Amino acid sequence: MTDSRVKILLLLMVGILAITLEQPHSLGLLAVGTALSLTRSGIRRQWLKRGMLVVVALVWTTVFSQALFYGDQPRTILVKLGPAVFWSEGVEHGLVQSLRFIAVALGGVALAVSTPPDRLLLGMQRLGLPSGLAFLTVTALRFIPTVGSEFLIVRTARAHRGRSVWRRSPLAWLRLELGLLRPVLARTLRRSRALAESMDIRGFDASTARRSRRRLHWTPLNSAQVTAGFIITASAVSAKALYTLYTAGLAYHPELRGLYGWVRNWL
Amino acid sequence: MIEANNVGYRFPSAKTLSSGPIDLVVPEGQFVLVTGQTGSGKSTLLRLLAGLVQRHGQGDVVGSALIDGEDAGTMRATDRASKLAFVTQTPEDQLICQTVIDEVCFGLESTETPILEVTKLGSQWLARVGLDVDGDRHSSKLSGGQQQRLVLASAMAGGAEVLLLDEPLAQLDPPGATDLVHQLREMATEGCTVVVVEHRLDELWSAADRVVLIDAGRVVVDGPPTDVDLEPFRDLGLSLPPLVDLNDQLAARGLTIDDLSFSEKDLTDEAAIPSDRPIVLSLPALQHKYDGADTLALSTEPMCFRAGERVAVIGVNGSGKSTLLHQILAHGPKNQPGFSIMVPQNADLTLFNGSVLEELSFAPREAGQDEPSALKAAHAAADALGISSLLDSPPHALSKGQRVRVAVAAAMSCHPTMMVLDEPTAGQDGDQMHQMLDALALGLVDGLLIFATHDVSLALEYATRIIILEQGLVDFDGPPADATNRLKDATPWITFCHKVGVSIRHPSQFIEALDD
Repeated sequence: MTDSRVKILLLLMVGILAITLEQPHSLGLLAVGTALSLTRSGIRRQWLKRGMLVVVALVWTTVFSQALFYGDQPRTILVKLGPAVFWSEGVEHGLVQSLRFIAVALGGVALAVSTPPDRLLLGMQRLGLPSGLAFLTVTALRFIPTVGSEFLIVRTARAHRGRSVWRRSPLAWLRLELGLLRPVLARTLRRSRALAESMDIRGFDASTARRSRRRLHWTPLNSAQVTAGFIITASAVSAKALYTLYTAGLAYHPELRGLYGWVRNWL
Repeated sequence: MIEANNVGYRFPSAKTLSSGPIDLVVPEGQFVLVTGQTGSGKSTLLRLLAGLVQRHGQGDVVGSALIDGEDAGTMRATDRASKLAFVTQTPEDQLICQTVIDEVCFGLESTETPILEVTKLGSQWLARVGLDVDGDRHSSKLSGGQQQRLVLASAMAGGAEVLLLDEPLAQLDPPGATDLVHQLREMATEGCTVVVVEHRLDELWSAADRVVLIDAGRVVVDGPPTDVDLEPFRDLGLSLPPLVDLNDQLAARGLTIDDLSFSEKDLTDEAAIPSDRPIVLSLPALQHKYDGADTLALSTEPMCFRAGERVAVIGVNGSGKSTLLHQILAHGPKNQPGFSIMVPQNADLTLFNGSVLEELSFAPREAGQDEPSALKAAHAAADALGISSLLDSPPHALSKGQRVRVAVAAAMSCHPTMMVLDEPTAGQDGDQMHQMLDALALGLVDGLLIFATHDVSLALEYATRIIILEQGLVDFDGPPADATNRLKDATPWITFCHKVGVSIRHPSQFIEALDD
């Protein structure tokens, strides 16, 4: 099993790259990379299918809304349907924004699915994250599926006791939907209290580092993975920084013209 | 040893103490059973003894709670892990880690136990509480009873000498509860101080060295179970162990159990549901397997349910009771809105309105009733369940037992043809349980009531049909009188009724028949 520190560091690099990159094809490549890591994480096929549907829906809605509401200049008309105008720059902007989010989100899910919470916790602590914060993060991740299934129970209970959601005004529908959060929140608070008490009684102290019987094993392959990731990230960030200095008129080196062109087209 | 010196707690908005002041000394190795009505302050007392209220409560604590002479509220974290264990009624909420072995080792990692011995010690504790599962198994996949054992092992693993348990039997089947009580008794015999807060007195009464009854935050009875006055327990509507109750009432009449001689005809029995009543639900043969599981969770032959039936589904933890209930619900007619309703084990999740009144009037309003009719229906449901005084309260501010009653009342206000309840009596004290089942029996005279429960006596007393599940298969499906033969060893009370030769009933019915 890959050392959890490797996965955390690689996810951090994905985050940096997602911020640095601006071209749809490079961000698409990054998203494909994290999607591949997700397929290898042991995630259930059914969940993977549902996740991919969410991804497609997310890209589509972001691209659609950005194409319709893009306001920056210059902009060029892609399609005009009556009063609705779709801007071609908006499509690209929507694609970039959604791919940024998807690349990091898929990487995060791959990390959470492929790493048992105790190893994730240990990895975060070994990387210097405060013990309390690391525990908070791991616990929050662990309870996401539970909260999701509880929300489904609340919706079913509401459905048994009331009319179809469509048979009411939008305002009444919204009020009812928000009301459905009440039991989930109350349950989450109760669970949090029980969990906190359980940890308290078992001697958990957020201010001190915990001992763990688990050992993390950093292999030469892990070193190679992190080094490769670091080189790619550092190269992309450096190249982008040089290009930004050039476009801002602060520093121009004629011998870097090839690099400037590559950054403009690819990063 | 535990010493509570005038200890009490006042909630932030309250003017008087909500719990206490209580003086209680529990010597080393004593097994104490603490009981009382829901909301009487039992759990607060337990949290005060554990020091949790002192560290996390927002209100004021008076007096002190000492564990081996050390203040429980200011004890060092590592000392807490090695001296004190605290287990609540919701084990699933106390599970911190993902796997069984990580869970049991969590507390040990907080102590000064050599790190290389942690796994070995954790495994030993799993064996000690009888949890024979793979250490790498996900704790969320365990049954309620297994989770309870895991939480107990995890709490005790640090070497705790004081064990505090809040309704540990709430989710356990009778064999599981008996096993746990036996283990607690053994721990007490070995020198561990055990304090258990519980409504289910039948299993604990004879095992405890001492019984403490709490009412309105104060101790009203304190003594050995063989000597305490039982009248205050009856006055508060608590379910005494039936045999203890009957013995006591017979003794007051100068009689003993051996003097009893009854036959079924001496005791009024409800007529069985005639077979010509209309069929409410026909269930096809079912097979259900959960994702990732190797075996079927449920496999049943076709069944049909008739109007007026009250069906109790019983079986040990993990036998498939909840799965069967969900399948029954799923097979109800799709084109009849309001035909069926379910109150799940976690009834809290069905309460989504701002007040109890809104909760109970939601369904009538949704069904198109005008405001006065909806309110009338809500008041009727509240009266039936004994929650009329709670109508203005936010549901989630109530105690667990009260929340379950609100959920059942809200379900009743829908006037469904079929009502399905998963463990509706967990966390209820005696009178409340009977009031709830009386109300359901009355409200569903022409409907169908299906409920899963661990309370076998209650099932035999109230149901008109019993389904016993074992490892996902229907082991028995028939009237309670026939089920008694199979369940005669489930509790001492059932054994007694079987021996006397009558069906299961409340001890008071024996006394009434005797007096007649």
